[in-house]
Amino acid sequence: MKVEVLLFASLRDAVGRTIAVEVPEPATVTSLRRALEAAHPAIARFGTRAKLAVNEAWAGETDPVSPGDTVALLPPVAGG
Amino acid sequence: MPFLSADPLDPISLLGVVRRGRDGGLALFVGVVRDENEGHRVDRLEYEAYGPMAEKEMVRISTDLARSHPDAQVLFRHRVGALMVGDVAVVVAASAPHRAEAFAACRAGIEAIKARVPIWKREFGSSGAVWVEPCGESSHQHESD
Repeated sequence: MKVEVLLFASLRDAVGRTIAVEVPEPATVTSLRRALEAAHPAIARFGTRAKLAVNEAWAGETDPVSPGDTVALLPPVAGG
Repeated sequence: MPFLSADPLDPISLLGVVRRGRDGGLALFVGVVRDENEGHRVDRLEYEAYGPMAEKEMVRISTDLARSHPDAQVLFRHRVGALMVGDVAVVVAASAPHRAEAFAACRAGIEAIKARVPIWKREFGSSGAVWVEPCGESSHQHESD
């Protein structure tokens, strides 16, 4: 399935506002991460410091990613 | 009321909202923009949020704080957009019957915000434009601006 991923801050500057990748079903956060890293060296450089959010909540590595989910890849947060 | 604000924050007014008649202790944390970071001059910061998720995450933090600090009430706001040195970036106001719980709830609030809310800041100063990372790491992207 094709997953569109939102990017923010330094990741958006490096890669773009959104990217789309193809991931085999059933997809998980880990399999999506691997697809993103394979498609974009800039994402691979972040490694696991970049975290995925699914449907506007932090996702764990084994969480599923389903068609239609809102997915975002987020660099380390720095609020405050 | 949304947690993110594009307009200046007023810490004292948040204290006025959080306090209850039974509370004898109010604790307030105010985070402001510093004029230096790791030895270089800072002129201004731009805060960016993943807005819809940031709002939801701050609701979840409120729920968690109500559970972990049941005697306290905690309110907080975070600024987004362009901030100058000295501007208020974040406010956490906590209210409880006694000071220990007010301080503890306020501390727990700011720590959760810093760890969990998808907000980033870009620093403009003597090092150019830099995305600020936690733990002192910064990915430098020097630009002329």
